[in-house]
Order: sequence, then structure tokens, then C-alpha cells
Amino acid sequence: MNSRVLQVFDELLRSPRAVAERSRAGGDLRPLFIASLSALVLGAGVFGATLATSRGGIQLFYSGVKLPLSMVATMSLVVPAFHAIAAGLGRPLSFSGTIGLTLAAAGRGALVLVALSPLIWLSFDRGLAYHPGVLLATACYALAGLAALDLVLRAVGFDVRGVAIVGLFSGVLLVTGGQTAWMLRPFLGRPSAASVPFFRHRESSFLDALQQSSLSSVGVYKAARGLSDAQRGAMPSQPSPRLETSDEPR
Amino acid sequence: MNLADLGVLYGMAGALGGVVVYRSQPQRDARALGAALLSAPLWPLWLPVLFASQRAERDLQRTGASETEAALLEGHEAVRNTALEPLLPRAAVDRMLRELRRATERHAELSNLLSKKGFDSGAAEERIARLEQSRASPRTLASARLHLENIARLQSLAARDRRALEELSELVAALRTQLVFARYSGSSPGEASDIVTEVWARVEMLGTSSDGAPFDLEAAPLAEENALGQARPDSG
Repeated sequence: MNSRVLQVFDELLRSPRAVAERSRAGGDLRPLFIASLSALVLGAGVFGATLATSRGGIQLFYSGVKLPLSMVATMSLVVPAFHAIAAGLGRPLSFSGTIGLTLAAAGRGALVLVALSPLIWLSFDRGLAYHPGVLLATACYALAGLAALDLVLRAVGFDVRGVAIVGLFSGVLLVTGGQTAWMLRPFLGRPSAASVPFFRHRESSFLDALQQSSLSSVGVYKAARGLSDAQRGAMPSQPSPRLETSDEPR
Repeated sequence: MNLADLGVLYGMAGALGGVVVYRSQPQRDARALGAALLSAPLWPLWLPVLFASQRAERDLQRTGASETEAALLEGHEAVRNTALEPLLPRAAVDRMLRELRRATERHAELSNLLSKKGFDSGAAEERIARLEQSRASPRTLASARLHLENIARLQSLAARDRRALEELSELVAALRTQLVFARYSGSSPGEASDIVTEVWARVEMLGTSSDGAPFDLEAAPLAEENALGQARPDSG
């Protein structure tokens, strides 16, 4: 079993086509599951801890644990949707094959994150600020996501139908993964915070935050406008930068 | 229901899944424990993969037999309603299939028994070594050695059955192609006749080895005791 796990690990790095074929064929998927899970936990753990180097201390451990947790939880939630989408669009996979493929894709994405960790580390070490750091981390996630979806695309077929399946699945994955990660934040840690919480208090949602950030980027500050008119007199005439997420942890 | 309630339900389902997985494993060793521990936190992902893999393993064992059966039936179909039909009549095919199924079931039963903890030769050897180190009595050592010998005999029996089934499978595949060739080329059925004779001999051999009473787990200690009684120096 151990040699088969190592073989699959090697395939995850060098031969995504073989992994896609393995998932589609079904059969004994235990080595694929264990290799993918190991890659996911290791890769996301290293990347999470690297992200937290901007804050340091216990945040390294928290992020190293929470990022793999977030990815595994997301995979558990999106597998049934992916199974239904693939079957609905005429490319059915066995349920265990769907799990194997999804986890293998996540594992491959996590290995890409490991490869990008030195870049993050170096950037923070050279004094990269908090917000550009968030943007750099987002770009790394996007790159890892592309590597993962490439594996899925190889399994469902590289044609219009395959692209439609991957497109719909990406939509489900983005929303589910975004909300799961949002619930488990902070990953970088607020630079000005005296102590580091394991979880932040629940407030709004991933989509609310996305909407608020989008409005803020064009100069509409919803948080300030939400305050009552009675309070407005006590507030500065311009919206304060503090009300917008200058220190918001991501 | 809040997130904590959901977490408790998830944990309970995971614990239950872990117990089911551990109890369903053929051998309750470190690997079984690993599978059970993985089930507790990851049951929505791990359980479908684990159970599907176990089912695939079982199907793989059956595939060999079903391929041989299919080849036999195809061979008969090739000669049906032709002058070659007496070579492989339906009655003969049915008898061959019966013997083949008996032998396959026996082999599966034996393989299943040998995968159980009580039939692990490594564990039996370790036990003998421990008994020798602790200077156990000669009678205890003799029992442990007899247990090990019996396991070795069963393993040898299982290996012989597997070889016989593999050889028969190849032979039947050759018979099928030979019959198809004889039918379409109109050539002499001489070679096919030789293969049929060989297949019959192999099937008879399978039948002979399957005639013994099936191995009974309950009866095993009794048989061991009888054998031991004969070996005891003080048994008269």
C-alpha cells in the first residue's frame, strides 16, 4: 500500500493525466485518497504557516492548521454538487471516483501552493504590506485553483461539455470555499492586533464582504452610510478610513 | 440547530463510522485501526472510497471465474448446431461450470479464512518465538507448532487451488479460440479434441480437491486437539 501511495504522490506532481484516468476508472482508490489527502494537508499547512509569517507567533500554527481544515471541509461540501453536475451534463463518474478526483485536484492545488510559499515568504520578509500581501496570496490561490481545475478537466474531457462542467463546478467551489475560509479567518492576522484569535467573531458573510469591498473600491462606503443620521453629526464629514477595512484580517 | 449541534452530530456519525469500519475489516490490525481513525473526522469522503474499494477487490476475485465461465459458454456457442457439437455438448459444459463454481467458492472461502487474524503465519511464528523465550512447556510449544504447520498447509492448499484455476482459465480460453477456428476454417477438430480432453482432466482434478469437507472454523480446534493427542508422549 505504501509504495502505491508514493506512486500516486509522484503522479500528482508529474502525471495529472494518469491521476485523472485512475479516478475515472474507479476500483481501489484508497492509495489515491491517502496520497491526495497527504498532499493537501502538507501543502496547505505549509502555505498557511507561510502566510502567517507576516504576523508571526502562534498565528503560524493557527494558519497551518486552519488552511488544510478549510480545504478539506470545502471538498466535503462540494463533492455531491460536482457528482450531480457531471452526471447531469452527461459525464457521470462513480461517487468514489468523484471524491478521488476532487481530492486529487485539491492535493495538486496544495502542492502548487507549496511551490509558491517561498515567494510569499520572501515578499513578507522584504517588507510587503498587509493589503498587497492579501492580493499576492489571492493570486497564489488562483494559480493553484487553475492547476486543480486542469486535473478535473482532464478527467471530464476537454470539450465544450467538459468546460461547462468545470465552469459550473468552479462557481460552486468559489462560493463554498470562500465562505468556509471566511468562517475560519484570520489566516494572515491583523498587524495591529495585540492578541491572535483562532477564529474571528462571525460577522456578515463572504458574499457580503465581497460586495462591500467592491463598493469600497469605487468609493462607496456602505459601513459609514449605514450609521444613523443621528450619529452623523458626531462623525467626520468624510468616511473614515478605519470604517473601511484598512485592518480587516483576511 | 446551531454550528455546535451540527458538530456534535458530525462527530457522532464519525465515531459510529469508525466502529463500523474497524469491525468490517478482515484483519483487526494497525491498518484496520488507521482506516477507522480516518473515518472519524473524514467520513463523508473516506467511507464511500473505502467501501467502493473493498467491493472492487471482491469483484476482482470473482472476475477470473466469470471470465472462464464466459469462455466455456462461448466455446459451446461456437460449436452449437454443428458437426463439432459432440466435442463440447451443453451437458458437459454445465457439469464443468458446476465444478468450476465449486472450486472458485472453495478458494474464496479459503482465502477469506487465511486473511483472518487467527490464520496469520507471521503472528503464529512470533508466538512460537515468545513461547520459546518464556520457556513454555513442551506441550504448549507443540500446540503452537502444530497451529503454524496447519496454517502452512492451508496456505499451500490455497496456492494450489489458485494455480489450478489459473491454468484452467488459460486452457478454456485456448479451447474457445480453437473451437471458433475449427468452425470457421472447417479444419479437423483434432487439436480441439485434445484440449477438451485436457480441460476434462483439469476439471476432474478440481472436483477431486473439492470433494473434501469444507474447512470449518469451529471444527479446527477439535481437529488440532485430536492431532495433538496422538503426538503427546503421555497420551498412551
